[in-house]
Amino acid sequence: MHKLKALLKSHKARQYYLVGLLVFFGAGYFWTPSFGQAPEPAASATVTEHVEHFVFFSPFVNPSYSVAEQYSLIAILIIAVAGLLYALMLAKQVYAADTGTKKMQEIALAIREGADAYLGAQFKRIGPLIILITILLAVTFTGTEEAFRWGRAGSFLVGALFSWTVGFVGMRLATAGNLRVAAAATRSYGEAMQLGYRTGTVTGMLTDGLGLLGGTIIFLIFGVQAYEALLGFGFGGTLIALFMRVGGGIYTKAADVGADLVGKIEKDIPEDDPRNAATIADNVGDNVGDCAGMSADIFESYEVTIVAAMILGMATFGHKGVIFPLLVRGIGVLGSIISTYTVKAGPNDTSDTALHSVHRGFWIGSIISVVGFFVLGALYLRFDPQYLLDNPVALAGFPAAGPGALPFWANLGVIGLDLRPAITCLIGVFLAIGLNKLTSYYTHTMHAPVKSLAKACTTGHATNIIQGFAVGYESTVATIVVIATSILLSVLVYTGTPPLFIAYGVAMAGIGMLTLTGNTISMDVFGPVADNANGIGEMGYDPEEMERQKPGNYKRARQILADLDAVGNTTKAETKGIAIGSAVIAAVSLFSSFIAVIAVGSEDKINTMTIDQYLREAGKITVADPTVFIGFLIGGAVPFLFSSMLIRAVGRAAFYIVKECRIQFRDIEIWEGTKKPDYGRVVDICTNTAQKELIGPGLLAIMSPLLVGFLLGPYALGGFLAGMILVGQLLAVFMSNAGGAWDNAKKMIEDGIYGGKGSEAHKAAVTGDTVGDPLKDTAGPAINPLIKVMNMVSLLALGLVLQYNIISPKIAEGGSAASTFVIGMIVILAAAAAIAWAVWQSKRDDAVADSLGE
Amino acid sequence: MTIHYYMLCYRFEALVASQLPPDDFGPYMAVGTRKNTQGNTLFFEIDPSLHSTYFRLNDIPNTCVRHPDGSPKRSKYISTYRVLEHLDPALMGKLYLTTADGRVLGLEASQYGEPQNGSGPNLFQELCPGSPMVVSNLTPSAFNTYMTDPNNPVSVPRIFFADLLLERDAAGHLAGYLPYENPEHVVECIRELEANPRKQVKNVARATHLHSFFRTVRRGFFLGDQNGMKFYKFPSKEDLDVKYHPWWHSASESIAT
Repeated sequence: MHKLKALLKSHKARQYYLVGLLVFFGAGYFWTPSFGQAPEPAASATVTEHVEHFVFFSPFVNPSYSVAEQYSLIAILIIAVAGLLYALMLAKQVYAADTGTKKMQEIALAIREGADAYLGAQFKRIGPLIILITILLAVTFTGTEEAFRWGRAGSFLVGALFSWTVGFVGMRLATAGNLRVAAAATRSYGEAMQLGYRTGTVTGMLTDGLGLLGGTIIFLIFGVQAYEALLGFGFGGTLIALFMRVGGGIYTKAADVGADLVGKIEKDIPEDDPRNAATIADNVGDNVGDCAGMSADIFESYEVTIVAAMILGMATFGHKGVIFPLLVRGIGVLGSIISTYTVKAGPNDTSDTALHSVHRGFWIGSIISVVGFFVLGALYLRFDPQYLLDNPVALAGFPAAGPGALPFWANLGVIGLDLRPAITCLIGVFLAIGLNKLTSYYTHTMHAPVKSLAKACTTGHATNIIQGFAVGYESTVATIVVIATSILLSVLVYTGTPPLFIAYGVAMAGIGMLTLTGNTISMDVFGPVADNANGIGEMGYDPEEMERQKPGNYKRARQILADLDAVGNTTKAETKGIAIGSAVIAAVSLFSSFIAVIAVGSEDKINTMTIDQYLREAGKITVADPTVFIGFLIGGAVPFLFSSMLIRAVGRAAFYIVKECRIQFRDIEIWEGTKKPDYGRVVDICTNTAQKELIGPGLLAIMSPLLVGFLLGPYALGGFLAGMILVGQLLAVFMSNAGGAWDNAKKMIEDGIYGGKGSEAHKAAVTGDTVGDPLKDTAGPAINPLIKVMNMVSLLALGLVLQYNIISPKIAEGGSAASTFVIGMIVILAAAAAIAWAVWQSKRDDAVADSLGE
Repeated sequence: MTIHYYMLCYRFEALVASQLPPDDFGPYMAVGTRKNTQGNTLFFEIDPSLHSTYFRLNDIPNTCVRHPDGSPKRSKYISTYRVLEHLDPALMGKLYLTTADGRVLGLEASQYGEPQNGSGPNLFQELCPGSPMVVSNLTPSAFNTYMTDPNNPVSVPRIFFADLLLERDAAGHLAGYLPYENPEHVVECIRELEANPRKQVKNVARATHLHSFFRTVRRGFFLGDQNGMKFYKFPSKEDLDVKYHPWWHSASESIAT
């Protein structure tokens, strides 16, 4: 028995387990078409009718698709693969680089092992859940087209697998890149900077490539009826991103706070001191939080925005409305490939020139993309009379006299041309830039808000906290103004058309916003890579040996790493605004899909919806209806409960780490530096507690829309989503910006103002940073996927909600009111129980926490 | 086992016998073995041939012995009062600076060459026997002479002090990186000194909490009386960054007093 247990715990067994799950996931996906094609017993005449209409790979067999469109779709696939090959090429470059001294390699290995252990453990925990949800998605399918039953479930699996792959590869590369950046810093600034950035680019291009590949393949398989499969694909990515964000956020901050509490506060030892048992866990945390978590988060934004655009594209402009977002994404991938390769630095550059190079890369990518949107738009977005005849809903998207009546700015005087989708993409690019600048303004040391915080530190801890709240609150208003302006511009672009077309415009803005995902993720991942490289330099460099070999080299290398760390902090902060903004844009777009499904009563009938139906149902989601208002209130409260759970989880996990570090510090040999601490123990504690703690918030995210929907009905669920989107966005921006501002105010003081490190002002700044840490790195970022998971759950469950809610159920043919009520109540009770358990779980007191005072 | 003598000279003065060598004694004093003690520690290594009629040293070979479990005797306090004045500076060897987390840096005494423009204002941190912070127009050697002059109404027989950084900007404010408590008061004291050239020393604080103390040391440490002065040069920034990196990293990151 013991042998069996040992085997199960062994590294090999874990590997086999992971490979097994991977095979299962892959097989599940590739199996799906055969499931879909399998002849199903006809439950009703309607089902039979739909089976007859549905054809796999319709874009290649349906005559309404032109040859040019078919070639375009193939070209998009090739571009997606090219993005992946580019990522592979960069990964090879990174792995081929010098790996430094043995000591540096040992430290990097410890970080890598910790990061691998974390993701392995997470995969083990959520793998079964993913399989369960896959089965549930298949079983609970309420549509009439059987092909979509497993299409939806299979796409969910693939979405989850892709999201996990992006997180895993991003983290793996980061843990390989950090060592090589530290080694390269001993030779040249440019080499180190380029390696760090390219490490991030691998993850960025993987996100681009997989996101585009997934969306395109689903469309090729399911055609204009890909709605269900796309939702499954988006939900898979989003759910994994939520778990990665939540788990990574808890891990990174628990390790950070635990390391600081014992190291800096109790023992007064510097950060990254090898005697501190939590040091490696702290570095691992940077990777699981900022690499795996953020990469998965942006990947799901990438997925969800394209899912939203494709769904709305189908419901509005027909297949042209679907193919154009894919084409735009293809251009974005090309833009990212070209622009990320231009990011370079010279051997003696500084952080200013390096940052300039990164920003120049972003601008080059933006210009390529914008030119690409318009050229593609001019060539492709032609709506001739035959197309409008085949897609009558599309006609509503034009002024009364048809495409010819569009103003000059929308068609450049060419009859039938419609450049509005390209224009809304451009709005998205501006939105990304606007949010970048705004985040930078509120969190960068060169601007007034952070300076005001640093100054507030001179009068004490409380004034710093008060000022931080003020800065954070103000930043939410500014962000709302920017997002609302971009939505308003989309409204203006589609003036005179029904709301569904405006929603398509908003979705296209989301597409434009995330066009340069490759660059965005490169910038984000560069942050933790540079941070870790600095830690490896601190722990792994041999100053005397380096000076002996080349006088001045040690100091120069440390300066390079410090500069890169500073550049990484800036680029990382800039991308946070995009992550939050994209969540809102995607959520707004999905909200329109939500109304569309209510309007037609079933997901697979969405392309049969009329504009009147949409307007009628949209009008019912009003706060004048008390149930909608209640839903709105509950939706607004959920992000607070979710944040509370995460912040408590960080505190609880930190307790365990503090206890372990204290025990290890009692070993005099560890304290004297003659014996290596057991880093693995703390890594294990972080890994296990983070996995344990993510279940509660995950349940809240999945169960609360179900509870509201089944208890209060679909319109209340609409209210719930609206409240949740608004409050979630405000809270996420507040937490990210206030936390970022507190962090940088501390850095500003440490760089030498108001007394520098160790001064009274510094102590106040440390307090602010400590308060802000779980806000900006745990709760704030996790709200992005929360918003989308709740939207996705609501959309996926909407068919069931319409059928089984206890307020106004649409009783199925052959069903009875009593059985419908019972089913509804079972779901309500199960959801309520799960939420109650999650809340109870988040408040429990641990014996470990109690024993800390002993 | 060899018995070492140490003189603790920061925050309180004491003569201690120990079986630990300096590199182990420092961490022991800074952090203890099992107790969570904190703070920077400064101590001199005293010549083991120490003989004194003032201190009770006769019993030390019998009391400073290994513990029953074989571990060395870490500290045996000999005196905790007026120690500095009763120790011959010639017997005082290396000065050890220990950070709050127990990193030790030993400094040898060296010749002090008073710079031509060494006069004030200077910021001195007295470390033993008292611990006020003062600003002065005097050079370190003149300050040593002034403070140990018995004709001076406020004097001590022997003094140990450090010379602290005092960079100021064009407006006369202290440089931003200096972590002194109440920096404006430091500036006020300097201005008072500048306004009254006859005043040689101005007290800034009676008992100072020196956050990040080692980060503020300028030229080094001075131990002197009317007969002379020993100088313990603080390493250059270059050497601190490279040769003494672990110590300096610990010292500059620490926020302990």
